Amino acid sequence: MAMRSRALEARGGLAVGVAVVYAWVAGGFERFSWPATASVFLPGALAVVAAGRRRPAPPAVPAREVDPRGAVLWLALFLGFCAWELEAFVQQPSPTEGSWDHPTLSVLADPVLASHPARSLALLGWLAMGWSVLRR
Amino acid sequence: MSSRAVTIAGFLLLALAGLGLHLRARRPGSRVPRFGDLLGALLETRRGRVGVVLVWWWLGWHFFAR
Repeated sequence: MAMRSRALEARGGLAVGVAVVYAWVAGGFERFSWPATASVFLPGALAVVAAGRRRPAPPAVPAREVDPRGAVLWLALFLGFCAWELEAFVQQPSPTEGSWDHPTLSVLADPVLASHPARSLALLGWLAMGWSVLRR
Repeated sequence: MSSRAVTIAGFLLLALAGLGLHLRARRPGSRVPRFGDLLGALLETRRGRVGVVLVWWWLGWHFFAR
């Protein structure tokens, strides 16, 4: 039992190490380049396959009932965000060139994500978010 | 008001609406589910899991690759 828990811990530590190195390397790629695109495509594709293959485990704690009428409000907010983002995106001069007058969220985030360490840190957060979704 | 200010104000309004929903969901007896409960319900089905992962993938694409 203790050996199994130690093995799990080692695997977890290894996964964190790989994610940190991955985020550091991928954060150094130039935007719109093939390596940057591939570095997001690869974990995303793997995660979609994993999400589709794995049968969801029954939750340890029974999930609270979700009232569909209340959930519609969250859906409306999500769709509103998508519509606003799309509205800004279609007014860009080109898909890879941001607009000053109609900035998308990513254009607004550009100054923050301009440096290699900041982009790597954000990538690490993105990977952690995906990992936490897959683990649930 | 410039187009830029209107666009940014729109994002701020959406963020405020999200905060409002979050606070409303925390009230006892609220019909609005907490975001975590909604996410948990979505992740219970395969289709929901794939949908959530696709949104996560798009976020990465949008911010890091585009």
